[in-house]
Amino acid sequence: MTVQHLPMGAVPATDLAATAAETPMLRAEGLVKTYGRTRALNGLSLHVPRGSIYGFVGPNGAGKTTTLRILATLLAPEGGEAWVDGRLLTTNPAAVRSKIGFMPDFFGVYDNLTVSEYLDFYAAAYGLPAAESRRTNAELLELVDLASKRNDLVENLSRGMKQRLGLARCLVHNPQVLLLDEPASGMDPRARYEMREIVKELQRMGKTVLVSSHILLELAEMCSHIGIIQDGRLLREGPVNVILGSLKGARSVRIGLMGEVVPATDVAARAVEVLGRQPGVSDIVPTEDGLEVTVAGDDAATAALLRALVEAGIPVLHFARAASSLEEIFMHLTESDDQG
Amino acid sequence: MIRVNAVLGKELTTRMRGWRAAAIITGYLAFLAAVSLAVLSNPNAPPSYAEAANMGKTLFTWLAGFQMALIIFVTPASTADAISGERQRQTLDLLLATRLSSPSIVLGKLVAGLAFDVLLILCSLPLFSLVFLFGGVSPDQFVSMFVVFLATTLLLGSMALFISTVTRRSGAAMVISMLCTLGLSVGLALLSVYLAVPTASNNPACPMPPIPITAYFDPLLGFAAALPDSAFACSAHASGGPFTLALWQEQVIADLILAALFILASVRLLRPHWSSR
Repeated sequence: MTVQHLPMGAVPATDLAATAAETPMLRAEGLVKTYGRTRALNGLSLHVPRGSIYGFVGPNGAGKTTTLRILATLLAPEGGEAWVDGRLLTTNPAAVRSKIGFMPDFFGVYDNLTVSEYLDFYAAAYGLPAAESRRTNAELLELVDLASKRNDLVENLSRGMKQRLGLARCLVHNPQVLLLDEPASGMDPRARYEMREIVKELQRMGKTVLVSSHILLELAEMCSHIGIIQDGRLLREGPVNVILGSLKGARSVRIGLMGEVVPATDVAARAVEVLGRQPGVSDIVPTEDGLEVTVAGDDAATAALLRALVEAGIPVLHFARAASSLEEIFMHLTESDDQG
Repeated sequence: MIRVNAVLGKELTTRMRGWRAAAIITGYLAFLAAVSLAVLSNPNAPPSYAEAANMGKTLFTWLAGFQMALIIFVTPASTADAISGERQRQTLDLLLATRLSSPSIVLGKLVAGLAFDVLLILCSLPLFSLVFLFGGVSPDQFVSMFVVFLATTLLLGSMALFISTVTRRSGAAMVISMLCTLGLSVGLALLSVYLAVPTASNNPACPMPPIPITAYFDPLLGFAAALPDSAFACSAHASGGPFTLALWQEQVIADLILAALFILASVRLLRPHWSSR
């Protein structure tokens, strides 16, 4: 079977969804941070709109954790500036901490505290009155589904429960911004799903969330904005739909083909021939049960593919847009950057 | 309602949890009681009232000596993992990301770490009060020795806390703290003796040579000077004006100054320094 691989290019995406009049909730300009001889951040700039879920994506060592730690006031950059809700980090880091809830990728807990004592401690650390914090903590435990564990020692919780407790800890002081570094790390699929739903709920409550992750599928589903970082610089950022459409407006379509009527190879070969003649088709890759086609254009161009297949008598089992576009974007951008 | 420092509240809650704290207090007091019994059971102990004062001084010296040894060996361990332990457990970032100020965190950790040591010192008071049955030790001397204990506890605790702040791992912090404690106590004592030997005293009423400046930072000097019939008693200095400070008082002041410097340094180094650019 002949497979067509046509070269793909990229067009610049719209960088910011926020209007000129709206101040980003988080903003960084030209951040520089060095560890010994390693330059972790090399002039990074990013803009996180208010009320967004901003997915921060990058390979290992790209600078994601360093960026989050700077925004959480745990690291001082050697160059550049950063703002949280318009407040400069360097001017008043203590005031900025009140607005931020930070959850690192790896964090310990105080094993000899109960779950409720753990939250009470952090509430006290944020200066909340005891009576108010008790009420808030009860609500938070309900939100993260740990209310039944309130009197259990933290050391007896599972990994997923500790992650949820960590998220509750971020929220004790009702921050406007959440910085989550790999929040679903080490969690099973169900726990990851629950974490995503909690993050979406937090966005509905008006919070701005900056989440870094390797799991691109989850970010694509959860996030409203994406920032792609590599080697300490932001390669691209913007709304998810704009980023996904940035490869010459290309989209991927998965087509499942029936192989019962005629041998599968004949069906696939005919489908490739038909699709190859369609305008805008740039790549056709065989899959387990059919083909994945990359096509430029809008919904009409995608619908034209299906019409062409049906008119050619090719038995189509299923026809849907592929969900892995963000992965393609990421691989393409980071590969392009590697090639200079 | 007064809100206790959050770090202090949490530390005190967890440190006193379980049977361990009570067991340590019981064990320590049993040990001191055994020392007292050993001293008082001495078959060579004089039976007369006139020499009972010597018995009191002997008992006080032994108890104070063991108490000082406890402080020197145990106090650094109380705070050596205060910050490095948080760093190693990966809880330090979460603490620093809160609204707690650096002084709050440092002082909370210091007070929590030293609280148990102070509790042990206070629990030993009833045993020390046995001394008053025999006499030989005035209430002033009693109080001065306990002030030396508390100042030494503060000095060694704050030094270990500073080492904990600049060390990544608790094990290393513990070892460095113990080495520094030995250096501060035994090391400075040896150095001071070495520096003092060539210098003779010109005062026939006080045969002690002048005290080198290095000795003022040694907790053992304050301890020795606060003992009854101490050879250092005549080394009181006229500091000008109406005040004359005893040697142990000067040493305590040096302890407090050093402790303050260690605490300030810990506060300064705990968080990254944000400079306006």
